[in-house]
Amino acid sequence: MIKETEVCGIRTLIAPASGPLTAGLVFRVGCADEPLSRRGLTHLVEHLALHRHGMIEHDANAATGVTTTHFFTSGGERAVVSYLTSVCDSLRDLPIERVATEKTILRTEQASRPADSLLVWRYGAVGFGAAGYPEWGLEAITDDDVRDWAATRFTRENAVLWIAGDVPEGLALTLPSGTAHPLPALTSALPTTPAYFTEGSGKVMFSAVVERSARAALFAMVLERALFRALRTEDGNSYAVATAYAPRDGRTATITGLADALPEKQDAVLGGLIDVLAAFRVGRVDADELETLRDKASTSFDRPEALKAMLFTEAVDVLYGRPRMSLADFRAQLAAVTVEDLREVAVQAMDAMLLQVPRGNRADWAGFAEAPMWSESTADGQEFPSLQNADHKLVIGPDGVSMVAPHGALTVLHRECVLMQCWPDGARRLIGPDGVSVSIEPNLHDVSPEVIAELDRHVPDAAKVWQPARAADRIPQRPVPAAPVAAPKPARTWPRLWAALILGKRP
Amino acid sequence: MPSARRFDQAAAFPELVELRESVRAADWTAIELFFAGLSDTDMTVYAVKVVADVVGAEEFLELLPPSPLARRLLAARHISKAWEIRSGKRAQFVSRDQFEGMHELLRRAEPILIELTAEDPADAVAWAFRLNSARGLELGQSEARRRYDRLARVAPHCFAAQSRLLQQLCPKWSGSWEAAHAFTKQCMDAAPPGSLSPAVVGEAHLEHYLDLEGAERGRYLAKVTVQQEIRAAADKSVLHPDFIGGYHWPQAHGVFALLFAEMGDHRRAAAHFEALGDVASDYPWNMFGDPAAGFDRLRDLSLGGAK
Repeated sequence: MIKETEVCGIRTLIAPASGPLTAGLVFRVGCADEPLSRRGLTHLVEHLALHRHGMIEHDANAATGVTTTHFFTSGGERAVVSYLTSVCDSLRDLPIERVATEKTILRTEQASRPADSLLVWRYGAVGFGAAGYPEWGLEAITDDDVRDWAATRFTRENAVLWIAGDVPEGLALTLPSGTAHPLPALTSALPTTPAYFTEGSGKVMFSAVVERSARAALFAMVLERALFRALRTEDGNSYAVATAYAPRDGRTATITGLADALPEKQDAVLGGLIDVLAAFRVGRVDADELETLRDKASTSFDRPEALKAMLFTEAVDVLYGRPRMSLADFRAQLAAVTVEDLREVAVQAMDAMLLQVPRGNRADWAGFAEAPMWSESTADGQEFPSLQNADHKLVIGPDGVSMVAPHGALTVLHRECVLMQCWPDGARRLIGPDGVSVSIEPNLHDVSPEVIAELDRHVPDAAKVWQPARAADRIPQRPVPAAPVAAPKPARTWPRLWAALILGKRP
Repeated sequence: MPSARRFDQAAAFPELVELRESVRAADWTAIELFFAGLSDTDMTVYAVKVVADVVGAEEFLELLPPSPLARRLLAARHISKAWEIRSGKRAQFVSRDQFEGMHELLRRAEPILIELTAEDPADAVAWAFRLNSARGLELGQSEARRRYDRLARVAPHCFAAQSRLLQQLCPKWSGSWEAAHAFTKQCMDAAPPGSLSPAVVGEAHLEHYLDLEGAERGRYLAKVTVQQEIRAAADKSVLHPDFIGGYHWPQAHGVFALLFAEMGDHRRAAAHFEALGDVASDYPWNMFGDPAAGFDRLRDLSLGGAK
């Protein structure tokens, strides 16, 4: 039913459809492709590409994801043609004069988006892990960065067009030629799984990497139902319970889950969630629920919007280099899923699980290893004791920096540093590829401008992102011995890092 | 003359002495046969604890084919051993090494129990031991309560579990007296007459009493409401004509004997001491530095020095 063809030199998937014409243009580029010091670049290009089209009267938008960027629209033939043409024209010749304005808009947009700690703890601060951070590269992105990203990533070879309906008359899309980009390399910040880390409060979250398959997708649905029943209906400890299944690449998918909790019920939500997972792992799955959700999944393919979702997914698979699967095959796979299949997926999910538990909780008792809290080494160099906390000291050396606490040290090596945020008042924040971060507040460790200048010489320029000056009341002041000041509040909180400064450990 | 059998949890029950011998002899057939003949949850929990308290039993239990019973016993043995390492002292007198040793063993017990309750959510015995592991691992009040509630779905009047949750609800394990008394009162109200459950009301008052100091302690058992509740609990449990007995009766009678003796109600205390004879469980007499001396003193006081 879905046919593969080529339109204007772009690989295209097309399927007949009733209703208005719908189409999308997908590029194999997303925030996992960005170095952390340019985090936000893809999103910025996406915004710039939409600018010239102006006020969009019909249904059209764009989305920057972890590995893909998607421009999509629905409406009359002329509207669809006009939108897609405008996007491609803009990508070849972005309105660079808009860069500063769009950066401001992005800063506002991201203020409402939470960072994804599960990604950072699993992958570190590179590749898929970089996608877990806020758009911390915006300040450093130059006009040339924008042009270069558009010219190398938004190309014919790195794109797939999908159309639900007929190819509209007069469609003439021009994209530069380039190369297809493979997915970013998989990195890991976890020596072993299942693992857990503690962060925040009021919820338990998890992610697991499993096979991409109909049975894994169905497992996520049945798991959500089982969690809802146990944690909400029976225990009454959670209100929001959700799971999601999303392809990560051609071969694997990520299942994520969340259960919220009142602070006094967090322990029980964690325990309840672990018991539900354990029940799946031993194959105690309600066969009725499997049937109910199988029906739900099958009938969802009959909805009109299902075709568009399928075209998008298949377009992404073409970009991933994955053999496409027909809907009939997928339906057949779905129909064949057994309770034993769900058990097998549960075993995979548990083996690769990363659990985020609220502060004060642990999960080692349930067989989850504590994710590494500390670096393996400490940098050599000049020591700067904390003026706030006698137990902590900062080390700044020619090869790296460390924050040393009684239980361990957090170290970022200069040559590995993927981001150093720099404030005009001398403050620095260095992040290593494993997600470890070290903050330097000169007033809290008595670090002279000369030492900071020396540090700046050691860290690669590509990793530096200069920040606007902080308001005076945002700059931590030298503690008065008699009455120590409270720990500083950063303008934008990134928990793992600030805990490093305040508590001496990664949360 | 105090019997050597006193404070031995198996002593009053010849079949439990035999069970323990079977464990020491690594006679799995005899152990399986014994548990196959036991259906009462409280009695099973008690008997599992008898096996679990056999020092070194893990060496034999670890080698068994992993049947649910073998895994239940092994997990319970890890828990008993964890507490042997911890000792019964108050937290401030337990060393860091002891805590680490205890947690290490509880982290071995817990996955076994997680799997047992995952396979069979109606495994009340496994749930009861998950209350012990939750307390030792300090998994929190709400998690302990969740485990109890899961157990209560299949065993609503399980004294062994109620007694374990009560410990968790006491302030020494981060609970509160309000929560402890509210819970035990619910247990008593819901329990059928003649069951063990109402005895947890006595345990809550005993724990509360022991936690107080000086004049406050002296006044606690003199309160009319407290006395009324303890009497009602004894009447609805061990003194009830339909009292079901089971392996926990020495513990239940012991709690009431101790409470009535301490409040000076020797007539009532005597009834419980007479029921006990020379049988004494570890709890509650382990509250005394010398349990035997404490038992004898209160018994003699209550029975008028006649024995």
